[in-house]
Amino acid sequence: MATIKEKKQINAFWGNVFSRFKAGKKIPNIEVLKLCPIFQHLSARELKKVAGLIYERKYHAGEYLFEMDQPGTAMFIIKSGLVKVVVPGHTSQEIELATIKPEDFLGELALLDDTPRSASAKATEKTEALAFFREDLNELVETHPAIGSKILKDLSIIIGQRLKAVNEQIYSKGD
Amino acid sequence: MTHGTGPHGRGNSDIHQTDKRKQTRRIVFIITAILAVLTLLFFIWSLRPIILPAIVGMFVAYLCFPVLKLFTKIGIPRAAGILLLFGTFFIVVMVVANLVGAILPNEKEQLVLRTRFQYKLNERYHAFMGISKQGDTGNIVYKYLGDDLDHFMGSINAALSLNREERMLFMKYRIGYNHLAPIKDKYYEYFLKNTHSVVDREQPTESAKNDGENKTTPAGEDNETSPLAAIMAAFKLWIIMPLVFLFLLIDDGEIKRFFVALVPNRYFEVSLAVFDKVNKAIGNYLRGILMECSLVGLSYAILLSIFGFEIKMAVMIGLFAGIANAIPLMGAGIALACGASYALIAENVNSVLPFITADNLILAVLVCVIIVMAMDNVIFQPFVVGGAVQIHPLAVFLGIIGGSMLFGFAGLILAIPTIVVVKEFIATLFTELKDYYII
Repeated sequence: MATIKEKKQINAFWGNVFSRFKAGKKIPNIEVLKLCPIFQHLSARELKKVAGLIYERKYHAGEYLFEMDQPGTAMFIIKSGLVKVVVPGHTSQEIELATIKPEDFLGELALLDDTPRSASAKATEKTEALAFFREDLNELVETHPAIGSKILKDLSIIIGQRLKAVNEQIYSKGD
Repeated sequence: MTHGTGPHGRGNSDIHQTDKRKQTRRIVFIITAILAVLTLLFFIWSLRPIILPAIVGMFVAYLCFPVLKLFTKIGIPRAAGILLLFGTFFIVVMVVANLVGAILPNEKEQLVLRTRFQYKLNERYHAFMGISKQGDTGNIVYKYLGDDLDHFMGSINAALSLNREERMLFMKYRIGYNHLAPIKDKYYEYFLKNTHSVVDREQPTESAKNDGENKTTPAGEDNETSPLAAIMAAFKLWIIMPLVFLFLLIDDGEIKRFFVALVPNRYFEVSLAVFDKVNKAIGNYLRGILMECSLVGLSYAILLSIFGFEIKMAVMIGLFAGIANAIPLMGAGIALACGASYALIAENVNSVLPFITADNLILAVLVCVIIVMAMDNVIFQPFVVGGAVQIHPLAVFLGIIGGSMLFGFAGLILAIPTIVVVKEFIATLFTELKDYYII
């Protein structure tokens, strides 16, 4: 198992560095989307359009949102519950990389292409998630370029931020 | 990868309960799926008369999705785009129905065509066999196969010859009926010659048939077979087509979302991937096949007009051959059969090409079919249909036979698209299930 320090470091990659999570609050889909950094620059009207493309899924504790090495097709935003990002360890146990809380998101790289997932995401309690499908984003870019470009820009910023965070960790480990 | 016991430390009883729930859920899913499939099959079978209009509506909607996307892209609101498409759809249906109505031969033209066809067929048969004149014994082919060929020609004549009512109608049109010009003398002569040879032979058969009809058809049922009743019945069936078209355009992914919501979490991403890939493949296939059929139909119409066919006939053959081209080889077969039939009765050929006459028109039809088939294989299919789904000829054959046996004309037309959909669905499903390590 990873140590707490390591977990914190890895969380810089997996966790939502922009999170404005407020515990115990039950909010509608559109509000969840509004709090998600990928959609932060969308207007209310644009958010409504995106909300129409979202798939709502419910998971039991122990159920996987996605599994490592499977091709990714959708990004998940956690509406309620708790999800752990895990990879298989040397023994039969899983190594926990990060914990994803409500309003955090995961699997956003699947919005770009269908390369295999680098880790698995497992619900540790009853979880509600919103899935945003890559092909819906592609269609949005075609039909509503203004919305599509805002989402892609924010997605690029997030990926860039995460890359910087990981680079910093590598440098700090080197020191 | 282990599934662990979770952060709250569930006990053995909890795990047992979860497993039991999983098992119950699986049973419920299986029973629901079986019931749903059985219900679907029952409805398909019960509602088979409306399958063709519904699928035509779906097909047109599929073709219009990219246009609707384009409208949204250029800033036309979705609702306005749908209204625009629906209006265009109605106008196109009306215009096409009018055009087809104008192209299709009316009652008088049908009678004349049958008369001409029967006369010319017999004339050419007699000329080919060397039995044109009284006392001719025929050529070598006739000497050996004459009896069989005569018998075969007799059955063709029986099918083509006009019955008593049709002959009476012909006589009415002969002197001018329904505000239509009288039938030409030449065709009347054909009619007399045709009638002379068959009228005595068919007299008893015809009366027996009429007796039979009188016994089985009650007098009150006449109204049901009147043209107005037939139009109303067709209207009742085909009204579903614009409705299906409209509702599919209005649907903004709700149908897809409904079905995806039924999918268990484990298969959620697979279902999205399969749905998307199948949707794209079917869309490409339908758009490609429509374009190919249109180009093939247009090519037949243009080439046959150049070869000396009446414009009306060339367009009609092009239309039928184009539609039938959705079934491999069927388009060429229809064009050849219809073109050869017309070539048989053609008397005045006004071709742009001076060497094409009434005598060699049938060869010109053959050349036309070969040219269009070559164009289809070399240009249309590779460049228009592209990498669309290919089906094995045996599957095509069995599909057409099975489809027509089960659902009649609708089954004949829809067999190939259905096979394409099923094939694409199964292929994509299994590929994705493997990619997701589910199988």
